[in-house]
Amino acid sequence: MRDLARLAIDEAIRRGATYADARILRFRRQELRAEDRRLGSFSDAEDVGIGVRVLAGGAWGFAGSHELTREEAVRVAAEAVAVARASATCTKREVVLAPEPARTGTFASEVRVDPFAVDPADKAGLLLELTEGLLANTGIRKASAWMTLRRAERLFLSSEGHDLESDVTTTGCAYTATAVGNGDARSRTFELPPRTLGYENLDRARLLAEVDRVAAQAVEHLTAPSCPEARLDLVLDPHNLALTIHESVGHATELDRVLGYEESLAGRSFATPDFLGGAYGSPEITFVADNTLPGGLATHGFDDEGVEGQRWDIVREGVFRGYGTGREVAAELGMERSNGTCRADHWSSIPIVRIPNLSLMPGQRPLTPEELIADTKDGIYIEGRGSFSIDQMRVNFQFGGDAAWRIKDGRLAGMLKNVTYQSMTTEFWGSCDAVCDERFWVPNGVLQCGKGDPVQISQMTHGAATARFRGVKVGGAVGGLKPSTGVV
Amino acid sequence: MDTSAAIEICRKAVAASESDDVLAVAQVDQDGSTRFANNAITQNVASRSGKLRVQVAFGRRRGVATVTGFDDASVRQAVARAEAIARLAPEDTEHLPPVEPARYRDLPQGAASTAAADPARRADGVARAIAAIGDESLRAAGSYTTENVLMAFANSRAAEGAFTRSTSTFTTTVVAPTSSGWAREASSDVDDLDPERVARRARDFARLGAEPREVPPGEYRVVLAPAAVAEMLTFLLFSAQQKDADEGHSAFAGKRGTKLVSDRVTLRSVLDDPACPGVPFDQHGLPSDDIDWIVDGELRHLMTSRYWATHKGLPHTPYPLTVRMEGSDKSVEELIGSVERGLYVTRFWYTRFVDPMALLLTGMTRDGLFLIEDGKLAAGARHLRYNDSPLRVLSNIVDLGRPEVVHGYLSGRFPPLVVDGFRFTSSTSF
Repeated sequence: MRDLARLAIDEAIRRGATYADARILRFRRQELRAEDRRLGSFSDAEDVGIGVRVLAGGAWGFAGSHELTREEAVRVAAEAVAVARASATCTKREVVLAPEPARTGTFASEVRVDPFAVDPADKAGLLLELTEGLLANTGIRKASAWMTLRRAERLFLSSEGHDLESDVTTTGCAYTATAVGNGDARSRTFELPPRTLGYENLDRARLLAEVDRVAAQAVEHLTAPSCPEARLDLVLDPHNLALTIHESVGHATELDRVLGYEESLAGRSFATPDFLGGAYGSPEITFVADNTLPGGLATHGFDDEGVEGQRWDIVREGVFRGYGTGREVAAELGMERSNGTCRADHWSSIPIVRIPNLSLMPGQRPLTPEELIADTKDGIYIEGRGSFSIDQMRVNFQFGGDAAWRIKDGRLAGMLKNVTYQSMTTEFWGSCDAVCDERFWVPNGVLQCGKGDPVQISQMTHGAATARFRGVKVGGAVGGLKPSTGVV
Repeated sequence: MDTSAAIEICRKAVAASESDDVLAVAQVDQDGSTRFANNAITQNVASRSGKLRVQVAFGRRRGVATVTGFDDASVRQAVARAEAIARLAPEDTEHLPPVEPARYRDLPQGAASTAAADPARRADGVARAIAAIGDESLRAAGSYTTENVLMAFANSRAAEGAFTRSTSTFTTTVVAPTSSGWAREASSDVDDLDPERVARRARDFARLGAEPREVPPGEYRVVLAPAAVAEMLTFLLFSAQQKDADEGHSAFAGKRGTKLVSDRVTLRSVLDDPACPGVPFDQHGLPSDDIDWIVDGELRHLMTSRYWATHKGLPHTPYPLTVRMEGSDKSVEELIGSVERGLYVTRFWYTRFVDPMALLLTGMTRDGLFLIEDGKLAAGARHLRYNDSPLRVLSNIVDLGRPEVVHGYLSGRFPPLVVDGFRFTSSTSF
């Protein structure tokens, strides 16, 4: 394989490319899904191919193929150079890359139990045990459980002398119970944090231990009153915060969108370079990007430009400090080095700036979620993920949750349904007055982050501990919505 | 590779399996994508890939495996992996045997011009679009994409089939200091696209929206452009599952055969539309046909899987690849002209469910929200968040216009709509 990558790079340079890299990837993926008492699907996919990226005439070209032969490697390299020549007819300036020293090395995620070596019947059996357990609860009409097992083996070579290999395994598992009754249907989900670990990440005992609680809360949700329309204090659990961090901080600080590269699709960002040093949140808020985080979904050793994984501040004690970058946009901003968040989801995809592992750092003083709720007079406590939507500049957002409870005088006072909170990004993070300590920090993650055109799917970890936000607008989504005015 | 060769590969996979039932699907993709931003090409990609998917079953025990490539070793690997899963998987009570051979409709195939579109053609289209804007103070971004798919299948009951399909899009966002405009054309045939026309349209919207006014959230009469209509209908159709309705966890529970929305709404899948054709068979190899989803406001069909259709004695109605909402001959301008005061929505962004049981959605307006005064687009408006339901929107239709081709998660022809009482709930900073 190394010979093919080298051959493609040499061919691209021979044809006039000033830079070339080649990635050969082998993906293996098993997806299992149980629906009620049956295994709805069990698929095993393997996908192998080469992607060649070049600079010629100062512009990018890229081509990929699933055929791993010497003839095809040469053809793909030639096509990539031809694509770059076409691109060069419509550019304003030559692409410049931030320097990255040539390196050789390997990286492998920690895998104690190879998920692809586990007996398929055991994997299917676990999911069916989970759905059976959910359906055994009165009021549960529907149960589903899924498992994703992924392995990405990657070889990266460049004309600048990079020669890097990685082998990363990802595992995740979750289940959902749906209760039907009272003229309504409500679901409750439990998800183990997906991580770049082996099958040992899927803690069978932990999964089974939560089944009855999840089912009971789905049933209780059916008869819960609707969320009031008001400004209330919010206490958000780590799972809920993961998505809020992802949308309002992660995407907002991708440097490619800040510089206009995603203008037509993913959008832009309010967090422009002149905002560096400005207030992103309260002093309680520190966001750290860390692509060296053990088990992190974006911990791959190096990115798809050969830049090694790094750790840096995005926001420090409320102050906006930095971006996620690739080599091209890092150079455009005058940075000495990319911080290595340029990734592709496939051998046929070109690397683009992706959100790194990005986490809200735990609070410095001892604080438990129970103490935080006890200290809240009138508010709402939200767990898990629900509805999520944000504008293309990453300013106005509206999020929901998987389950929510009213807080009255420091106690949980029953579930609520249709809970949404709507705010503006810096106003919201500015309203944070407490984050629980590191004992309660959980590395949840996103496995299906879509970006790019053609759309690419990526994964990253967003750790957080339970935190409180003062005076946030809640309940505006449903409140005031009149019934349909009827058939016209 | 042509369709005959692809079917032959599927036959090989069927022959290689020892299982009771086999379904093999071969897919070849040839894609090109040129992106531009800040008035220059920023990404240019060409790729081709081939995948073989093999589904086998021993009795009711089923396994699926997918590999890249079609050589003999790949075929053997796919079959072996699928069989390894199937031998150990629990029985699937919903397993059905492979379909019998059938005649398939002769539908429009992929366009030769789209298959032949190369990077130079795409780069030229982008350059012409940027030149057509003709204003260095504006920034253009967008994409020029071509997708060509060849799909073939064969199964252990000797059913087989193949088709080709193509899609091309040209999209432009033009950004001015305080506003932006957007336009897109889509067609099976890349020759139908006019990049300069798209660019000029986006430019005109960007200019018209300069210095947007702040408009308070509330209920408004709106004109929804076809792209905005298509986005709301995508979520409606995603939810329209017969099984979910029968099990009581769907907004459509008990609604089939009843008046669902305004009697001015008719929504169909029409497979032989040359600009956005359907495909002749579904994932099982069952023949596809036109489907009436909503006719004169009455809900006629929900999506029904092969198993659920068999179980309930209903017609099999798979997820539609193309739909058409009937409209009128009126232009968007005529619809705007009929509105004394309201808002014009170019498109929505980041639409998501809030309450699936009520089909309540939220999302933002993007790249062109305009205030309508006295039948004209009077000024740009700052963008707004909406919380509303497509069921409510389709019940509050005041008028419909001429359908246009839209390509997105749901492709087809959608008319612009005039809708009363559309509910915006908050505003943003731009």
